[in-house]
Amino acid sequence: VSSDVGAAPRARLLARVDEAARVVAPLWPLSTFVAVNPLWDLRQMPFHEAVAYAGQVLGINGYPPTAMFARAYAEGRVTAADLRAVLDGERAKERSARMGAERGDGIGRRLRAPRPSTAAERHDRVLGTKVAEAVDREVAKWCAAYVAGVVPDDAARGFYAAWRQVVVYDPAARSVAGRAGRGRLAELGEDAEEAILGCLDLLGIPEAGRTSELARHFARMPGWAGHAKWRSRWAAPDHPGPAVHLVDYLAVRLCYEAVLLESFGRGPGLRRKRRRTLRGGSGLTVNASKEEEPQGSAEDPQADAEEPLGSAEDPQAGAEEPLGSAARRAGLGAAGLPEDVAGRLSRLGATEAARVWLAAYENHYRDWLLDALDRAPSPRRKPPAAQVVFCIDARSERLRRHLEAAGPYETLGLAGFFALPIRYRALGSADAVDLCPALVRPSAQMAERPTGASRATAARALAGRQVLAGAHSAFGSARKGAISQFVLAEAGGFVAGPIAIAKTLSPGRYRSARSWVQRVAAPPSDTLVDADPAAGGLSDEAQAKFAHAALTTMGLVHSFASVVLLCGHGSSTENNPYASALDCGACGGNRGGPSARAAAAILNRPATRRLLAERGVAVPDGTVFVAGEHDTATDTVAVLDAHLVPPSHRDVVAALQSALERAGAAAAMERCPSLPGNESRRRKGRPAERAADWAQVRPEWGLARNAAFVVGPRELTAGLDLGGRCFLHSYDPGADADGAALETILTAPMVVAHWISAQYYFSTVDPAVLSAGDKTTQNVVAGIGVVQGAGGDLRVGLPLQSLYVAERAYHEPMRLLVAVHAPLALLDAVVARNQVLRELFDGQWVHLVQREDRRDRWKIRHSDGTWARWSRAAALATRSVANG
Amino acid sequence: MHIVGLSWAGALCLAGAVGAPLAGAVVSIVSRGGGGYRAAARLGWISALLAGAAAGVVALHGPYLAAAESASGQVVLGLWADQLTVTLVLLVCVVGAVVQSFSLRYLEGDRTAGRFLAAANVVVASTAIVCASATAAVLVGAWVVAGAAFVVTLGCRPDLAGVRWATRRTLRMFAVGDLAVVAALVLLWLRAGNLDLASPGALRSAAAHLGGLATPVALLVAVAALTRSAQGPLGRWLPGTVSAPTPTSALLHAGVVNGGGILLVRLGVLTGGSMLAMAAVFTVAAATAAVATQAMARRADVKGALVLSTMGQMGFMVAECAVGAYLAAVVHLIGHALYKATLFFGSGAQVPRPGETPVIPAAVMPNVTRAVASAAAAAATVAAMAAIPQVLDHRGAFALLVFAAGTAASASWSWWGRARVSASGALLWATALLGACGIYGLVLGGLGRWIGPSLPAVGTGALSPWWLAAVAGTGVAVAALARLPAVRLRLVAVLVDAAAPAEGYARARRGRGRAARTEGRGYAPAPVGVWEESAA
Repeated sequence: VSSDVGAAPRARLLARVDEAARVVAPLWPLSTFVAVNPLWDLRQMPFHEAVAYAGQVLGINGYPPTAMFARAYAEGRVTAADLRAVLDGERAKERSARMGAERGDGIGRRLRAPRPSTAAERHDRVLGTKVAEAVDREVAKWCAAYVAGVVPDDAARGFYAAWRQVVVYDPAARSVAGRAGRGRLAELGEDAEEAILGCLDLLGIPEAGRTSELARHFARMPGWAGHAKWRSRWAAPDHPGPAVHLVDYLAVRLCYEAVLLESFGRGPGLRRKRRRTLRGGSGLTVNASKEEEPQGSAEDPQADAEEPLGSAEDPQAGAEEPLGSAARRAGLGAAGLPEDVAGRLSRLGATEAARVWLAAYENHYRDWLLDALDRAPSPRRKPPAAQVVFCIDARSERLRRHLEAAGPYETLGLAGFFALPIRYRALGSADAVDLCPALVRPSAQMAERPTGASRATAARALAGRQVLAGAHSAFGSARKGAISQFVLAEAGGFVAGPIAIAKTLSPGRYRSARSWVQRVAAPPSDTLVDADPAAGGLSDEAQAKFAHAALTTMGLVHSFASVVLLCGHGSSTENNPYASALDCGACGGNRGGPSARAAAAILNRPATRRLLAERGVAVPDGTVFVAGEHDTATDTVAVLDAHLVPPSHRDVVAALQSALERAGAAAAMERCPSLPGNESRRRKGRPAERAADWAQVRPEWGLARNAAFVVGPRELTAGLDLGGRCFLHSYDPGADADGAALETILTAPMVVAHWISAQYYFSTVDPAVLSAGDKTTQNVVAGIGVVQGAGGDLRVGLPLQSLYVAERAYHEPMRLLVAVHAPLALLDAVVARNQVLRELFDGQWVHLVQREDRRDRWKIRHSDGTWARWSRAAALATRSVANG
Repeated sequence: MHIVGLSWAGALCLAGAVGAPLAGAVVSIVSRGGGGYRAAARLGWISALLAGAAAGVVALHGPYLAAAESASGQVVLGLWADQLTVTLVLLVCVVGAVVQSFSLRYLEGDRTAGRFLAAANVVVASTAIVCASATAAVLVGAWVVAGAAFVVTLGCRPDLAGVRWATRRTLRMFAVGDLAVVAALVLLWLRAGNLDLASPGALRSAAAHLGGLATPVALLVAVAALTRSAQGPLGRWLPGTVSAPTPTSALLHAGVVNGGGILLVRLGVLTGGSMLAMAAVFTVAAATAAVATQAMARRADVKGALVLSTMGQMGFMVAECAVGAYLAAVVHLIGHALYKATLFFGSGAQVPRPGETPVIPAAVMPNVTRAVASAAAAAATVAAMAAIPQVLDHRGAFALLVFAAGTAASASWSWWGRARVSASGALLWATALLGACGIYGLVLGGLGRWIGPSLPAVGTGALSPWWLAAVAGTGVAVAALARLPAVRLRLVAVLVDAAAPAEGYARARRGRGRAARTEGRGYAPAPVGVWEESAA
């Protein structure tokens, strides 16, 4: 490492980079999409403050738009009574928000600078140039080329070094910076950190302003910055492939900015072409570039001078217009928003009004849910024929409800990796997969292997897969060859054409035909997930520890049925870059089947059973754990490793399978009408056809409309139609004296649920910045992300088709509601000893309600940690809400 | 005037094949969704079936005319059905039907879907008319309509900044090409009247009438063809079009870009006579093919790579036209259209899922053996193709064999890089290779037998078909240069930049359906001095 720059400035810089990068969220590659709270690293601030800060730096609007609330009001989804209740409590809330603001001093203070901007943006603003846009364009171009492996980087020295080598030949760099400037790009530092420090000096950024300057550099391209953040902070250190790190990204950006602005300083030497590129055509006014420039509010000095945050609707109307009067304009005043509510809303600022609407909208659902839980029917106690453990995923709720109705079955909810964070290698697979939530690191390796009897067939299957892979690779390289692509295209077309027609006209039949071919080429064979310590797996002790954690976390410590089905989930969709977003989030965006198989293998081992008994959990010898996988696109459940089920239990499993089939059909019938395009009777209830369709941009709704996370025994929620909107985690306070299980639930699955909920929330309320945009115009880049159209920044978040139907939001943007059935003292103790929980609950990122059991009353936690009793009267007034 | 047709049934079918998409366009515009769109898609398939029936009539009764003639027997308006034209019409109608069926689900909830379907139907109908027009005036008129309708299709999503930019650019460049072809028509008309495309004799005599104007007319037609097929500097409109929804791209790459080839084949007698025009066309097309295929491999995004691939493929097809290898060009046009539409539709499937790649076997072939095996595969391909009857009967067939051999060698090289070395592996690969040769040879031979009689005679100006090998040579040379360390970085920089979109995407971040809300919103920097620190 060179020379000129000492260790201290470097350390200070790295701390600044970390601090500045808080404004963007990590962006996982599409192959393992992880829903993430886009403001996760701002959680030290209360929700509303973080939204305001992100509004400043990212330019987002963090609240649902007025039109959405207006429609909700018209539909009775939020009522005047809800608004009144929130307005009455507003004073208390303001007080606690102030307290929260004072508490979140660290980052809040330092980052709460007024509107950070980059030097290029300030230059553009004053001189009407388009330097910042040119920088974005060039950086995005090189990020994409580097990640795709196009830029030579033989020594794997990283993005900055590789870019520096090649940019001196880049024609585009010459056209924006001139020949001398292009050479200068590579002279600003031997390594990325040196380059950043040198550029900041060149640009004359004082020490005090550097963090916010860097933050704005990240915020200009949340996609590539998020990718870099994932690579630097979240990816496994040994993750293969070209790595764009946070400092690389900043160094390249800053080099362009420094050189471009420097070249402007030199003035008359500019080549005309370059001037045109940078100036955006005509003259020095920003107005001339209006059409290309979405940052229109920069044109209006008045809007600028005022508070723009959370104002939303329409910048021309002025940022300060209160939502009350906006609502009146939308016809709400006349249509029924009573005068007193409208008056009180109009006295509030726009942001405060949006907060009131949001709170009322959330409370309306909360009241409905708590009332429903209060009225849940008492279950009939009958020993179940089998127990089925589903993932907490909200989509499981429907299937669980219908399964319980279909037979004497008990269901439980547990995060879909079954508390077993493993790195899993499928039989004959080149790469291992981390099957655990993003917050957890895998602590063990497990692999699939053939059974003794199936060794020969497994070898044949592997050979078949290798043939298919070889053919695939032969096609892939011929497709790109300088000579081969011509004949390949014309010969391939006569094969591809009929296939395309078949796929379009009869997707279901095409999928069956394809899987028939795959079965013939690589016949399936019986395999198992090896749990034997002798085979390099986990030790008996470690296995027992995991098994114990899994069973106690969901409260399944006695009354075992003879069959316990562990049911992971995945989604079989076609032509879907966001396929992994529909798979199990607790398995890191992978299918959950392997986790279920591994957990079942561990729980069935006699050694595990013996050690479990020593720990106080006696699993009867007659109990067999079976693995399964729920396909959420088709609502079918496959039993995996059926060859491992002992003959004595096969009848029970067969009966369970047929019950699951009926339950799945019923769940599909319930779910399908909400999917657009299902209006014709022929298509209704044919989810398999839809899942197999390569033209389908909404194969299923995924987790849209998720709203609440309910922790407690299933008997308190059984029999309730929760509309597939609730994460249901089983929990038995009786088996959890020290709160360890509750702590696990709240710090792991609940945080994952919060990430999902926040991802859906922010993608819905600001699709322009925080969603992945329209699927029909998406363009997959290097297999790791998408851009819209021809290029530019990677898109973050979920695609619009997962959230909207045309202009109408299908998802209801709300913060997650967590309803816990546990003793209040225990819950308070768990919250008190976990900082992340305090941040989430105190900062109102997540709403927490509690009751001990069916006889108890619900209590709502305020941001200062006090509890208020939930009033049933409000619930009765607003009970009419629809939930589905 | 009276309507005549050699075969009434055939004429009706052909007219129906062209008319059904027009009816579909009306239905999509009038209806407001669901049922109407489905009806339009059904009309698309009806049109494809009718085109198939029209082709059947040609097979049974030979070529026929569906036309309105003047009293003197001069064809005024009409369609001409021979083996070539009905095949092209069938292709266009099938592509149109698939695009519509796909879009029906893909564009669910898109408010502009109706407009898209209508405009796409007009593109299909007018392109079909271009394929089968009986007179030059009909051809040029339909050509202009097809271009305009495509620009409308492209502009269906004005909420996207990239689309607005691409639409403007496409409109400008199409205008250049269309002006050229209209000028060519005017010159033709002045010298030879409304040219009857159905009769080779009329075409030949028109060429003779043109005299000194033959070269200008050929050059004007060439400009139109190069523009529509996105060649050289005239193809700069193509990369921006990826901003539009996927079905627009599929329609474009399977239908619209073929226009250049169709024009050069149908007016082959006129253009093929001018050596200057053919040489210019060949140079532009070959250079485009060489650059685009290299840039394609250096493009990070799926759709961008497909765009560059299309430019290269169209370069190959246009070069085939320039050397008079009309059959090869038509086969390429059809095969590539189906291939590229499939790849665009499936462009969402380009995300690898971890855990799905099988282990590479430990024992792979040493490189020398691998090279020998690849060479053997190439030789076997040449032998197998040559053995299939009628494969070698057409112009340029031997040059095409070079490309087929290259394909076999390239595929074998990567196959033996992955596959386990074993007798059964070799047998499997040989079988697959021979099967592929068989399919390709039968397509080539079969289409040659079917279309051959209706292709234009090779003009005096056509280059030698061996020039096609120059395309291959350039490609290999550039690929080899890219491996030299001294050239590598420069070439990468130039090719990455050539592959990058020029403009029009930079801050195109407007959400669907939220255009009003997000318009003009976004980050607003504070009004501070340029160098003033904002975080004071």
